[in-house]
Amino acid sequence: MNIPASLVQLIDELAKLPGIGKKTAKRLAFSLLLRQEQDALDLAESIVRARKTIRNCICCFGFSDLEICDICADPRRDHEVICVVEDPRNIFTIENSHVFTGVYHVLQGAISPLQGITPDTLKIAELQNRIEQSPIQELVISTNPTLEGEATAHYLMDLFKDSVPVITRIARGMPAGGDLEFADSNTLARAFEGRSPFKTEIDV
Amino acid sequence: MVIHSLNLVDFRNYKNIDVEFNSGINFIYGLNGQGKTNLIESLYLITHLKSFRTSKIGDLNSFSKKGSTVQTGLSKQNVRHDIRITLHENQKKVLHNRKIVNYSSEYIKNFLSLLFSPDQLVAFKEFPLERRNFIDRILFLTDEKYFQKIKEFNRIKKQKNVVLRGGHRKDLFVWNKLLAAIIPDIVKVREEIVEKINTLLPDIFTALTGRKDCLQFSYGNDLKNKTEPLPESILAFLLTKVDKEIGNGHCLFGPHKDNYWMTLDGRKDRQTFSQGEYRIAYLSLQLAMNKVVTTVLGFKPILLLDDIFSELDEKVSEKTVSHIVERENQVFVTSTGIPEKFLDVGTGICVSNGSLSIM
Ligand SMILES: Nc1ncnc2c1ncn2[C@@H]1O[C@H](COP(=O)(O)OP(=O)(O)OP(=O)(O)O)[C@@H](O)[C@H]1O
Ligand SMILES: [Mg+2]
Ligand SMILES: [Zn+2]
Repeated sequence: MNIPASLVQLIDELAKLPGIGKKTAKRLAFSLLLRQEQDALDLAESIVRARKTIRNCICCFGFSDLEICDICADPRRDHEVICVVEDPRNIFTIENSHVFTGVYHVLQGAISPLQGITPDTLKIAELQNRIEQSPIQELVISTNPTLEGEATAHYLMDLFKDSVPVITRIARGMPAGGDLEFADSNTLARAFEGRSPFKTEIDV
Repeated sequence: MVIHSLNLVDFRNYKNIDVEFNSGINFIYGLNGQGKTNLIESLYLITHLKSFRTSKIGDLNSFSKKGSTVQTGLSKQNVRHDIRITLHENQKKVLHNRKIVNYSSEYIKNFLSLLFSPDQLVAFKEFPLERRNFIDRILFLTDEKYFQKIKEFNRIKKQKNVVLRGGHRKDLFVWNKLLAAIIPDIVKVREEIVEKINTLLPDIFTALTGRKDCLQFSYGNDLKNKTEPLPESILAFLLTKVDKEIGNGHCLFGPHKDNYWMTLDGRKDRQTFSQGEYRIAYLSLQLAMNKVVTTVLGFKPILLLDDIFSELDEKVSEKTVSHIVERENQVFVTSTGIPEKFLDVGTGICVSNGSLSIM
């Protein structure tokens, strides 16, 4: 059978997305053609709109509709505490947990010479600028608990040790609600390494 | 652990054999080129999923055959395991209790054999890498944390090498810092296992030889005489070597340069051991390792001793057999001579041109 060229193109484009293999791409493409036309057009339009309007906030490099994102523009947030993350997705994750009231800075990756990523290719100079312009009280380094994230954390720690009063690193270890049985041994080993004294609520 | 039965089809020079083994000592004997080492190789394959003679698994298929199978029933800590390894050209498929094995690294944590072979002996004698691997292979099985540390160390080293080759001096610091932080942990584990081995080694050597000189295993930590075993001192040391390392384009210092050697009353192996002494020392080391892993793993590994008796005098050979009998591991020993005086402690298996007969 001859598959129409536009369908082949759609499948190939879908297959470029992360986590989507050829088979899934085919299923998605056919489902887009089989369901109501409006559904597919809405999807297409939302992709175009998102791509056209969303850009990197000029201050924190998170995603934003405007030049400056809602978080950076919010006067109620603590602008003297900056949380450093590797990519914009991390901001959404942390925001969902409502544990953090400061502002963010997205590095757009982590140092990895093997992949050609050096401090110069990350948004580190921008962070330095930002801190020079308006000094901060605390830098919370929330890069991933991978080797590369760890290297980046060390790099930042050395870079800012004289200009930022408090530098913290989020703890790494067991995910809350995580079942010990499903933790990989590396996570478990690190969780044990970073274990802290067990505090009871009531002093007896 | 004990291998009860073995079936080989089109494996090396075996067309189709079925054999039941003694759970103690198995003496495999026969003339040169009959298939003794091939049999040992099939047993090694069961525990390591690779060969010690070739990196191309397809070499194990009989000449002119595309595939082969190795099937075995074994038991470990009262549990029976059925294993079927099918080779097709250079591919292998492993069924463990009828379930497909997806990760060799997970499978090999279940079983262990310790191998003595003339080729491995030479490699061990000649190459520090081989000696490091010998120790690391055991540590990986017994210490998951160490395994993770080595993986991390290798990754840091790789990243640092890229920075060194690019000559990016200012990006180097963070990798040196990470190296300095992890090195003491690696060194400590290596020191500990060497210490454990050394509590056992002199007695084993004496048991095999009747000699009183003291056999010791030594660990040459690459950084020992250069810095204190603390992250800060290691970092300070590495920082003094930045130019040298950039010039070379790779990491010059650390656990990947560590060394191990043996001594008899203080005299060093390569320079002063006789052929026979080296052989006995290496065998003693394997037997010491056997004891160390038995306590940690909770089961006795299989001992595969290919061609141990050549270069050993009669007295040592006899003492070696009695020592091995006392260990109560399942053992496979090969030799060209008929081991008459040994037959009462185990089963003799005669190999002749790819067929086996039990004596
Ligand atoms: N893939 C193969 N197919 C068929 N025969 C093979 C294959 N590989 C090796 N052989 C043969 O197997 C024979 C026995 O080899 P093996 O190394 O087991 O001998 P051995 O009994 O250990 O001898 P030695 O006492 O000399 O060490 C060799 O003659 C070799 O030609
Ligand atoms: Mg042989
Ligand atoms: Zn912003």
